[in-house]
Amino acid sequence: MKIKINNKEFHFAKGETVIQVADRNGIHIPRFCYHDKLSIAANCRMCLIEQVGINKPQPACSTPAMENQEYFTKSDLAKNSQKNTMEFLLINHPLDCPVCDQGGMCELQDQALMHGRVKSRYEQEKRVVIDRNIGPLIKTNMTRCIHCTRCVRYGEEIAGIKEFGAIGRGEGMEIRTYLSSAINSPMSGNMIDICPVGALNASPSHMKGRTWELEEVKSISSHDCVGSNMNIHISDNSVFRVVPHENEKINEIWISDRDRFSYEAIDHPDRVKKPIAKVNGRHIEVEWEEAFEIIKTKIKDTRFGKSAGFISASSTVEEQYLFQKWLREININNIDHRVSQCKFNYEEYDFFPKLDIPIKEIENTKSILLLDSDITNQQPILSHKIRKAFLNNAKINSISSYKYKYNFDTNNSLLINPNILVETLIDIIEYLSVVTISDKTLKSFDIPEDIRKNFKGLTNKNIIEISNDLLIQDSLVILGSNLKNHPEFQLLKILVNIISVLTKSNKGYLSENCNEAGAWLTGCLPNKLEGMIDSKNTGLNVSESIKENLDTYILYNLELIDFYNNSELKSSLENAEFVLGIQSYITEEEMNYYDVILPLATVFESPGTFINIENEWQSFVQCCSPHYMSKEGWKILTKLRLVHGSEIGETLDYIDILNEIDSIIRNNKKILDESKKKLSIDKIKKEDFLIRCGGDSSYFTDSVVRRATSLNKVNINKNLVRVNKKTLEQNNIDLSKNKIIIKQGKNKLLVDLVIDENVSNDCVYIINSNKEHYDLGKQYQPIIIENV
Amino acid sequence: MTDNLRLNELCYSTLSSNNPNTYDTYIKLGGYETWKNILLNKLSKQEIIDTVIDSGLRGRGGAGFSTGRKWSFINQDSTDTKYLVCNADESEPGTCKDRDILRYNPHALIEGMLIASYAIGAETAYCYLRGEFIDDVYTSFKNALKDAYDNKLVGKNILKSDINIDIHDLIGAGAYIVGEETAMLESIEGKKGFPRYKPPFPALKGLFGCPTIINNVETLASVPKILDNGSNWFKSVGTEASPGFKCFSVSGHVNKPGNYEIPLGTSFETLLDLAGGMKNGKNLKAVIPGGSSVPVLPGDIMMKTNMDYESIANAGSLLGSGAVIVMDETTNMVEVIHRIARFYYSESCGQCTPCREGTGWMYKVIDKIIKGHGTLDDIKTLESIPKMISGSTICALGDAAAMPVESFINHYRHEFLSYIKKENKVENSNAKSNLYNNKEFVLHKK
Repeated sequence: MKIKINNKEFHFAKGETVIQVADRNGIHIPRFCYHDKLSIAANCRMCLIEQVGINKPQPACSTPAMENQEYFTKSDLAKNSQKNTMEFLLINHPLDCPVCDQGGMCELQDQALMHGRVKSRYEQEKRVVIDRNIGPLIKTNMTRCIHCTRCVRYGEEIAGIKEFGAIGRGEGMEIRTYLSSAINSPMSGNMIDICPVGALNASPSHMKGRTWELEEVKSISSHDCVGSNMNIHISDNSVFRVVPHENEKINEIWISDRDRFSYEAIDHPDRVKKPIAKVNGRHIEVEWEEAFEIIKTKIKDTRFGKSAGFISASSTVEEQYLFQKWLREININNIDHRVSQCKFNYEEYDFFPKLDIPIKEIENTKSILLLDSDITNQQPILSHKIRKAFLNNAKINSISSYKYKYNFDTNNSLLINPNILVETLIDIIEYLSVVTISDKTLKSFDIPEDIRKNFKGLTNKNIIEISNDLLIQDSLVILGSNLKNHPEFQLLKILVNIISVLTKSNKGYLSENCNEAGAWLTGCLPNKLEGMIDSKNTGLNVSESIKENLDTYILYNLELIDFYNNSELKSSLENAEFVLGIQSYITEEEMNYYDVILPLATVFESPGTFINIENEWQSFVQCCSPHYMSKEGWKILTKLRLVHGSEIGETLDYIDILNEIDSIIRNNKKILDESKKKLSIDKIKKEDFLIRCGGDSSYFTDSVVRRATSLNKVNINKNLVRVNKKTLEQNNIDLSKNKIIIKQGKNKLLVDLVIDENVSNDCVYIINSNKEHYDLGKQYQPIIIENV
Repeated sequence: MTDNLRLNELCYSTLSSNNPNTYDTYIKLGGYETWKNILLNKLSKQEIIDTVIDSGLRGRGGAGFSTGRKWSFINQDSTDTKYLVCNADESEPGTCKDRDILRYNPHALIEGMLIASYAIGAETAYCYLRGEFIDDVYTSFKNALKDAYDNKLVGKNILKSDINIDIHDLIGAGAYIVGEETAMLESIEGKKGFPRYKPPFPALKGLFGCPTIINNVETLASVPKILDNGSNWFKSVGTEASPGFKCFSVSGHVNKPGNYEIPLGTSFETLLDLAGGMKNGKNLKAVIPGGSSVPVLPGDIMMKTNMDYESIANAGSLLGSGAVIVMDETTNMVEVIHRIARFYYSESCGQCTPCREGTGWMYKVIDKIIKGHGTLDDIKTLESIPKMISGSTICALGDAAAMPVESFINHYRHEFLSYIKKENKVENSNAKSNLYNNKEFVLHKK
């Protein structure tokens, strides 16, 4: 099928509108309200063009392309209509471009230049709109709004949380939140990008610089396992702002607020500015050479066997590779990155953290099961993909300890105590084993005897429904990032694996860290070398290393609160001979545990590679040179290797390291074979106490985000504890008071109580969003609640 | 002249009875016979649509589109749910004809809705009344609907014919724009009354995304009698292109303002006579023949014009909803347009740019002129804004706001000029140079 635009013939597919055909063929049609990711509104009337045979101008955005129709985008009728619209748009626009953040990248400015009049004929008063406070991330200047409603449609269609609306009518129409509230969507910042004028601005960079003074560098987000592509705008060797970089395979044109605003942490007061060493019991700043000298004398042969090194799963592939290389060269085999995991009972069955399908394919999935995943807050981009699947009529189910707020609807949402999560999954396996009994393709697959032993006859209707939905073709099981703290995390992964085999569905574990796959591939594990080769000298895992009270601990890009059991860690560090930290940030309290701290460049100041959840290797360059006296991780680690006499040349540079990693790991990928060993699982115990649930606040997941000031001002109900009424009554809590005392381990805290029926029975829901909560310990541990 | 005129024969036919809006009155006058006949004889849908097409009945809401043809746009083979919506959001300033149908002959509307629903294959019909009707008008319609339900003429399995048609009444919240058919659909769906862009047209994708027909109250109330008496009866009055009767709401400087249902093609002079002639014997100055959104016509032109779609169009205006606003020689036309412009400024929904910004601009310019601050340039600007709005908006409100302004300047330019003081009668280029000579301005610039 063909249409003619400006006398040229173009092909089009059924259902396409004229603007789509024009865009595809590089014909410029001005527009404000039209956005190819949003529904058509046809309200700005900027894209009016001439359709031959119709005397009125037609909006190109909503006019369907029709066989053999002819259109003109630059005829007198079209040009006049566009000029008229432009004049109308500008009469109430303040024209304050010199003081507007959008100036220089403003669609209104550009199109006024191309299609506007030289001078306005409007002499009357202009409309002024009161700016509403919609939270710490977006600064509004609604007088500049041209009512294109892109932000309104974004909220309804993409973010899935209807927060903005057009209130009032006519000239008095105002875009605002329905009630005077803050915008809470975890990907609200995208509204700033799609706003064609300066009505919605990024608050942290508001009035701080001009677009044309910035330099743009492409980078990769470091705060979740998605690996969103983003552009970093640099001004004067520091990050000015972060915007999305289009990548249809991963993040399309969106990024989460966490990725957008985390840069504010770069110059946080906690930043380690110079190497710090403990001299005579006092921490003082030293020169780099002095620090290396101390390390050389302290980390020495006699202690190698009694040393352990932990690295963050958010560090780059290069850092992880060099870290384990350095330690293994000096015979330190106690290497681990799984610091938030508590038990390691099934090491040999554990598998590589990966989503079985590309991220883009999630939207084509027909059925999804979420296991204790607060995905909308924790991985907003993936949640957006699930929302797309939901809008495609996929069935979404969830099994969780708290009824999380998703931006899609669930079919079945089963609230359970995390204690019985293993049992629940075994129930699902039991049901599946019955319904798939005649499936010949599964003949060679045996459900381990130890799991069969726990079959006990099914009664729960919800479980049957959830299991049936998984049998739909193209289904997906997702283990939420909360589960990393679950005592049976490894067993859960195994059970999900069995479920995925039985239902032929895909599976994926969502990590809070951006490079957990990298940590596996580079061998930051006690039992795996780089390239996932089994190690001959298996070391201790993180939990054993801490329990063993070793002589030397090395912490790379990790804060103590990242560890599952940080109180135990603290005592081990206190008793250790030497503790080395290679950190970007340090708090005054944590500093006391270290003997030497080396200042590490943040992810913005260093080049690197992240491997995301779909196993996509994405490299990025340095945005700005390291601030203060900090150095890039790869330089520090290379130097440490040299300090310990590694036989690498002094001239080794970043490219050499990349090549080395490419040849050893990337081009030589070994996918972990499914273990052939007979699985034996411990007896499943049913415990009878309250369980703490609720993961980390999504703005408290890593050392950078924790220090992003604006993000942490977002209202996320801090310091609240949620328990349902039944549980409170069973524990004899006085419901008239709104405070209770919670006790976890040795710690105790007075907190505000919220009665919330979204919490499962016998659970106490707390979001880790400040240090006090972290000191309590991690989730899925026993907890006690008491009256004040 | 008015003696032989056939008055109030169709929609206002119950007015001659004592209790015009009761069920009994309507039955006594032969009401619901058409509907019962359709049910009993299972008349084919096509037959009904053909009769309506043949009668030449045109939409009485203002656009004047053939009602039968509109119904025929519904794809009868489609399995989609279909809806009928009756537009009783009569908000056009000057118009009050539907109000009186709802008040005095609600059963004709209900019967018309039933027939129309049957003809298009809808099982659900909505009657959307304007918010201001909440008192007696709404009550009258609601009571009539209850009577119709009680007599099993509406609802499930009507008179054991296996035909189900439900009629729901809805009351708006007082926005002019909801009278626009697609805005009404949005409002029925519970959303803000914003007109939808077309295509897709409601006959394809209307209420809740299903095929929908939207008709005016008067149109639907005319249907039963047309089917009852045959299309030839309807065609026997009126002109060839505009057959039948039409309700006119005459208001303004006349002795007997009110609703008059007369054959189309009757001369304006007759209608004026019917309305008791000019008040206080003043001379006729101007007439807005079809509601505030159509162009104004000077009295002398109107006196030569007949009241039908074509004659009024030839005279340079539109029949619209049939609201005839009569103005005598004492009327200040600038004040009139000031008031009309304010109405559209306040009623523009704000969805699309030209109307949202243009209605305000026009009002503000007229306001400036009326306050004595206008210049010749302002009149030029005021002339150009309607041209910029017309044809470029989503719905017809833009045109509705533009047409009166354009026509008022066209016909009464001298009155606008009289507001412009002598010192203001300078072209803007001079005004600009004055500005630059102003010391204060220069100081400020520094």
